[in-house]
Amino acid sequence: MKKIIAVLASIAMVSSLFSGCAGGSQPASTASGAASGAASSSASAPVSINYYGGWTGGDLDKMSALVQKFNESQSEVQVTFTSLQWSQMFTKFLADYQAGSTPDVVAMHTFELGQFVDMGVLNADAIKGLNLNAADYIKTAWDGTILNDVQYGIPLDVNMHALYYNKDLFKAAGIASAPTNKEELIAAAQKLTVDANGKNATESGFDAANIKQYGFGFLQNHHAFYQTFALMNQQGYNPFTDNMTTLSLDSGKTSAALQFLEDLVYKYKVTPAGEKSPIDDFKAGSVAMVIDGNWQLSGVNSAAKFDWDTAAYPQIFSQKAVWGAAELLAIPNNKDADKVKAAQTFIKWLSDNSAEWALSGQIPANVKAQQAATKIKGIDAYNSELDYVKFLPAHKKSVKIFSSAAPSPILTAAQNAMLNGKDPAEITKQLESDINKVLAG
Amino acid sequence: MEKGMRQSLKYILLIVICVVFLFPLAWALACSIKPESEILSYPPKWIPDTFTVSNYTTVLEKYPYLSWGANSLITAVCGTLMILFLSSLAAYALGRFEFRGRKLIYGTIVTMLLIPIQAYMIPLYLMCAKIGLLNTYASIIFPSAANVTSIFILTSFFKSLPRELEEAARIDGCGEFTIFLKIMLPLSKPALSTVTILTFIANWNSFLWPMIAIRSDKMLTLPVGIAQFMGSVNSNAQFQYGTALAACCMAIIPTMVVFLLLQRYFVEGIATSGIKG
Amino acid sequence: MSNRQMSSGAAARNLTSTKGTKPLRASQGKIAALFLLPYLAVFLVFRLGPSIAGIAISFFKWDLAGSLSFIGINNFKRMLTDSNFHTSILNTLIFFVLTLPPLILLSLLLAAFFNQKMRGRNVGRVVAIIPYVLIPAVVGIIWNWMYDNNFGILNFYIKKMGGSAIHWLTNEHVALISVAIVIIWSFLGYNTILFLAGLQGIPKELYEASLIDGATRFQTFMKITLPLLKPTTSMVVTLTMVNTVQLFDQIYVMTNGGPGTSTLTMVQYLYTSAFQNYEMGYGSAIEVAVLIILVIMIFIQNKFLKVDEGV
Repeated sequence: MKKIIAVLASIAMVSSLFSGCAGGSQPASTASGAASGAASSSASAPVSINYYGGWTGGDLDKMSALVQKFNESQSEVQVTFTSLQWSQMFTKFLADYQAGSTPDVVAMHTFELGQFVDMGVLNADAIKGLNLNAADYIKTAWDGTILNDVQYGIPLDVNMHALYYNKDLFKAAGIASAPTNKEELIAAAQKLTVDANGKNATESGFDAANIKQYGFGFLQNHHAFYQTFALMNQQGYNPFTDNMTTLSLDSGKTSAALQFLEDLVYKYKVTPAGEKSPIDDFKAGSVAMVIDGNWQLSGVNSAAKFDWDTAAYPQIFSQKAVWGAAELLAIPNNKDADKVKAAQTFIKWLSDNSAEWALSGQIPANVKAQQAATKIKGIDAYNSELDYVKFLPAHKKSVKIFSSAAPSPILTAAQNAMLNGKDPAEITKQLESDINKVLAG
Repeated sequence: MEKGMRQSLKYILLIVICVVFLFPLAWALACSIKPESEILSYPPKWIPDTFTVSNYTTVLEKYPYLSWGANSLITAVCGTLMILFLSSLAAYALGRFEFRGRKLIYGTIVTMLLIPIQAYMIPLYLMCAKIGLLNTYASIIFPSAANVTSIFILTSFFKSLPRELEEAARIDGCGEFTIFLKIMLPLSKPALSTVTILTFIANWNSFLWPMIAIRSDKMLTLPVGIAQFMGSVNSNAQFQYGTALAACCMAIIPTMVVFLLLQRYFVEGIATSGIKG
Repeated sequence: MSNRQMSSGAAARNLTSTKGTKPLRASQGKIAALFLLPYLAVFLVFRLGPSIAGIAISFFKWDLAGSLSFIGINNFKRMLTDSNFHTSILNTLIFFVLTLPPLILLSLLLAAFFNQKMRGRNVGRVVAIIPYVLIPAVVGIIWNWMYDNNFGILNFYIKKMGGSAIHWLTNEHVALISVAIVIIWSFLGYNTILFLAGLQGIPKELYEASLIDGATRFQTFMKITLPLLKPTTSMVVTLTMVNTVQLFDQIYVMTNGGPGTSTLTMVQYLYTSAFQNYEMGYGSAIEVAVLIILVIMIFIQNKFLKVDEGV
């Protein structure tokens, strides 16, 4: 017993030692952790706040540049920006929140909002205090920040699917313009699917086992479900709501959406089964059309050695619809009023100055910024979709239902359709029951 | 004649082994010196049409790659040194002393091998936040110093050394620390270099914890930094192959150096000690 | 206790109990404590404490942001009916069966090969460790790309040799095997190093004596090398079990648990539950299950490769 106490005592000593030297040698860390309350309110010293985002690659560069610009533009608020992959960033955010050193601004997607609202970590009053005007923002993005009549964030940008197409290959196949509907899409895709002997999918003797160029590509993971979601909406059907407690899927409409995607692979054979990285195949010139998001624009621009463009997501069913998501900036609860105020100043500035954000292919949700933005190649098609873009709901369980990692109901459904070519009606049934399980759990 | 055959068979086998292990790496290396458009071209080509070092210069110029490298080096070296110091002492006690609670202590330590970082990351984070350790080198070094594999390897090594060694020393009147320092440690070169190699690599590649524990861009370690700029295959972000591959190829160098420096010891260590005979 | 076999370090078989060794003077208990204390302090604060706390969470409901609420064994009850959890156990076991035998046998052979006197063996050793040295996420990305169904380099060669394309990561029945190949490739060098260190501990004279006695190389390997390598083997098997069962990064990058749930392993499911769904309690409960499975495996392992229990 004595020994145990001695050991515990020495541990306590050692650990206090650690904290002592860490605090001394690393002022950077204590600035965020220790400064709560009045410490930071002296008139001259700037308020330093932490801002967490989930961007990588080119987006990260642009956002870092924007933060730096803000820091240089004024002397009251200094922002430290941290960016990790989304899910890891949220873990860090929540752990920091729990530890009492919450970041002051957090970026997220609209469909993730419900989860955080349910946890009660977001400060809606801080957003209300900004007195934002709905007319200044793209409507869908604005609506996405509101859950049950309360606004939880300032809309930052909108992402969508659209069609990328290789103009050189179109020309070679004698196709004049990008397809806009089902018939045109399938016809074009067939002409653009070419086997090793140079025969396309419409010709006799076409060798489907030896294709060297595909007509149409798309991601066959959760993004295939996003397309299913768009195609359901194209039939005027959207069963997913912010507050759903159970779900019953219209088998006919859901199956029709899935069937269309399956046919591209299994019936028309214009889409490679199990395609992992359509945009890379597109850049390489081995797939003539792909469905992907605006976040790929700058990458395609720098890598493609051919003439290309984008077009609106084709209308397969009776009305226009496309999957999209919006990013927003939220302010977590924080006792330190100065920091909340600084966070408000920052996110308002960021929204107003988000024109530069468009340089990495983003569409700013702030209308003025969107109009002021330098148009990068291919963005027009995306802008044209803003009127009918559909978002996934901000349900408190959306993150589980629409997750990109197994076991996620939509991932299973998408892969059953795209990789296994299962009967759409069966997939629909399983999807419904999988989602209901999550909703009930 | 037969011997010659056998020799050449051996070398053929060696080459096959090397090809299998090197194939993906060689492919990565070959692609890291191509422009992005060529990386993706099909059919794949080993020799680039246009040779470029732009992926490497991009990594070095656009990102604080070298300071990430320095952070990685500092944390990996300090972490490894701490492991060597702490674990060799502890493993020596566990492997060669007889005392009450020894089995319990050893059992508890080794059981922790079975609990992955994902399971204790959050409590560790909250504790580090409480004692103000986050965003410091210490926040990476100390958790890595509580290493279990090294205890596992060193304990069984110390246990296997013959008793006569220390008994002779004791008769000569040496104290326990002297025995440990002058007799045991020199004999442990092979085991210690194995531990050094393995823990250095583990520390150098460590990802999840440093990512969570470090907040500012300048303090990042290499794997975290690389993950940040290369984009992600699972999220809606474009993935940059060229720069990611270039960054990764460069990140291999320090671990290779450590391996090359130390592998001599674990090869020769026992052979030259003379005790074994 | 003074013959060669004893001193070889590998002959722990004869050291299974400490009875044979002289008990130390009583004062040495205190010295042992001094040796142990620095490590134990760091270990308790940074490993044991957090791990116990992590496991304790399994009895709570916790979303990470809010406060913990005690729910008894509800998280464990939920496992009984959670089909995803059952799938994850099955996948973990299959993955284990796919990776363990090659990782032990191949690395043993490699180590024996690299332990021979020949030029270029150092090159071979260095090359073998390279995959282990690569950052796991990048390993995942490189292989992901080589595995690409249509435009990947592997299928390119397979087609060139007249085969038909394999859907490496997108076929439910193949995906786990494809991941296993990557893991074997990654960890083979690591195991080889451990075995090499073990082989170095076997005195050369033993081989020479055996060869003089007229034994073939193969016989020498079976009769002398293998038995003397038992402690090393036991250690390598344990570490390999732990490493493969706890594998995360590569699967996360390559398949994210898909297609469907075909590569959803327990640790993958733990991560999704805890850090994507923020069901920290359920995640911890899965960890407890991982722990139990590993303990059972190690128990079985000890039955087969019985060594070192005196420690």
